[in-house]
Amino acid sequence: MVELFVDRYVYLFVLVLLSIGLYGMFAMRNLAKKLVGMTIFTTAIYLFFIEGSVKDGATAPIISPAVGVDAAGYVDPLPHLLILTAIVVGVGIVGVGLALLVRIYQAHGTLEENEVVARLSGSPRAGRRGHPLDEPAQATSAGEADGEAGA
Amino acid sequence: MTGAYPSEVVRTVGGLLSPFIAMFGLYIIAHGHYGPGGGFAGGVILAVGVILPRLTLESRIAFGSVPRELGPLAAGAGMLAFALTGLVAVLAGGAFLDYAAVEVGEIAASRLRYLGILVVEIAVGLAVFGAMVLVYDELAGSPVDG
Amino acid sequence: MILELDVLLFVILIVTAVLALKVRDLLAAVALLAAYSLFAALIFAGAVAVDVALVEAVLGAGVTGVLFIAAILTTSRRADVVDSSRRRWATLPVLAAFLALMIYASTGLPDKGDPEAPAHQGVAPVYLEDSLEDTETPNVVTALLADYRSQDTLGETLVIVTAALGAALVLRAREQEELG
Repeated sequence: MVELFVDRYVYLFVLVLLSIGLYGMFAMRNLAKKLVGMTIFTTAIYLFFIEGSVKDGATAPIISPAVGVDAAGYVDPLPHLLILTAIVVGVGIVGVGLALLVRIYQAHGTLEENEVVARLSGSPRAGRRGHPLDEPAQATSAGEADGEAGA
Repeated sequence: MTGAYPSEVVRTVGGLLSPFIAMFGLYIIAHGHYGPGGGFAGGVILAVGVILPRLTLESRIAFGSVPRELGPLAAGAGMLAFALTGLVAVLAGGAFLDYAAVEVGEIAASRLRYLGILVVEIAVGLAVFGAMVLVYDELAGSPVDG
Repeated sequence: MILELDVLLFVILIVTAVLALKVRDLLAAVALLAAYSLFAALIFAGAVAVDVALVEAVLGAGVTGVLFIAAILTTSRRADVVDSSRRRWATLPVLAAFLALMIYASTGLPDKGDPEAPAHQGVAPVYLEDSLEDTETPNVVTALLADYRSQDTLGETLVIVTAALGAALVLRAREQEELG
């Protein structure tokens, strides 16, 4: 039993993290929390790949004179390449997601998913819920409220 | 979010550390052949060296040294340099991005590939630097002080 | 690659991930996310993935945190208390199915650190043996990234530049509306 754990504990922990990430993406109402869940999920995937590249007793894939060119002395470099790419692309995704988040907040004034969906499906409310920097007296006239919202 | 931080300690430390962080980023790009790092890590650390002044120092200093337009410019330049490196190899008769096809004097093929890797790493570092600075500038918005 | 340290770091990762989703203050959630990425970078370093640890530490614990904070400070800072228990109970069967499928799939995967794993055969030993002679570059990951697999890197650089431009365009559309 202990041997089984020692051989496969990586898969157990990675699966737990994947589930936490998925839960964050599905069950959280706040849009920023969904992005947090997505980041947790993608980082868990990186962990899965990198732990799959480990070899017993091997060292970093930088050819050193001490180990020579024997392929068994180095860990597998291909997953490192793949994950390096994936990490940078993941940050790009987070950047676009955050830009959309800010845009949704500017358009609807809230980051809660159910409120945004309700507003988009056209439930009649009195004008646009203003940006917090809007002055309350001008909240009903959408054109002037746009001019008030600052960065 | 942008603009001079109220605490003098933070302003001083941010101003002192940023050039060293940027220099460290350049070091990592240049030493990508011999140690961990390469274009991506170096480009991102270089971007951090540029983002830190925007977080802590006055806008005049932060945007004076690295203006807003430098972000998209660097990203495009890096991308272009990478594509051109590949096209040069095609024009010299080889495959796309086959650095050894460009015959220059009596440089060995492995040395040509070494130099090709260096050029590509610098291009990638520039592109990643530009992308990170661009995304930060857009998210942070306009400065809150003069 | 110390077993106890690895297990401890994974446990800390799980605790941090759960807390990052539970807290209501969004800035605290971002700080916990940065801590999560930092501990993941430590695990990468323990698995001797030096390039990946460097990039994950800088990007995950640094840049992602800064971008999140920049976005949150211009929007709201707290997540509302919503009674989403119905949504929670609806998610659990999906998660259970996902877990069952993944556990079944993981029985076919090799043990950790097995040098005979199928992933380590094939082209990876060729790269390790030939890269120093072909490219005079000791760092095999750099040689792979910029020479053997340079087209993948070209595509990836294109993706990151396009993502940054897309984010910029999404946010600038708002300013056009304001100007009229």
